[in-house]
Amino acid sequence: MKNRLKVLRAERDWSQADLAERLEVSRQSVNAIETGKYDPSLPLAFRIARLFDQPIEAIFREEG
Amino acid sequence: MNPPTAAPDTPASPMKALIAAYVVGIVGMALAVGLFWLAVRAVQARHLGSGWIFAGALVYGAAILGVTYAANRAGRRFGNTTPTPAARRYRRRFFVAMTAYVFTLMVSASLFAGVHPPPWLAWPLALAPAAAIIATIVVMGLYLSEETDELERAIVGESALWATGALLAIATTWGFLEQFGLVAHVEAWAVFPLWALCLGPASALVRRRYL
Repeated sequence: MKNRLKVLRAERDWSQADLAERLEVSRQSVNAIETGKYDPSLPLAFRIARLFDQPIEAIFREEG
Repeated sequence: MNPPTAAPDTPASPMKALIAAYVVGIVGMALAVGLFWLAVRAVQARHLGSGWIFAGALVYGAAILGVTYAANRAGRRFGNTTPTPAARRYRRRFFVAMTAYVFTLMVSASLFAGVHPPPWLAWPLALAPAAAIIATIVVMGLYLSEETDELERAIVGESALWATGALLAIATTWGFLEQFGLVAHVEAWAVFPLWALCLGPASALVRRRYL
């Protein structure tokens, strides 16, 4: 799954650690989600969407 | 104006963590075993009593715990990972359970070596180290249920499954080789240390996929 997390984070000048703290997950989790190595659960995807005030499909989209 | 850039983040390195933990662990254990062997020879040469064997065993237990702690620290430092609150609780509980295991084992082994305890004492003495290992397994279960970071939970769960698969494969293979008299007998209590040994590489390989 592709996502715009890195761009959204950069727009706010947040480090991975900053975003991790806001989402209450580890920095490694943020990194894995950003690089597309790990797909977050639905509850975490909703938390990300709420944090950036955007719908989930504006942040995550299926590959291919 | 330059486009906004996020602050750089150093990636975690699971392989470095594994190598550091194993190097410190293997070197430390070799030193502990070497010193223990020298101490046993000194005790035997001077025909010292069981009290000395008991004291030596306790020192040896403390040395093993120290090595385990140092290996853990080295792994964390080189892995560049931030432990979650649940992981910190897990480490604390793990060390309590491991301390209980090492010391109950040392007490039981040195008592069985010195005297032959009566059955009413022999059973609890023999079961005490097993109880400590069961406590360690419960501590791992608690960690999985308490970890709120879903990626960490997934990595640990997946690693545990890989370690279990490896252990089943090794134990079954060894069992058949032993059945047909090709290899020496291995005691059943070895399964847990072997599982823990399998968990290290399994965890590093699973982590590499995600980090």
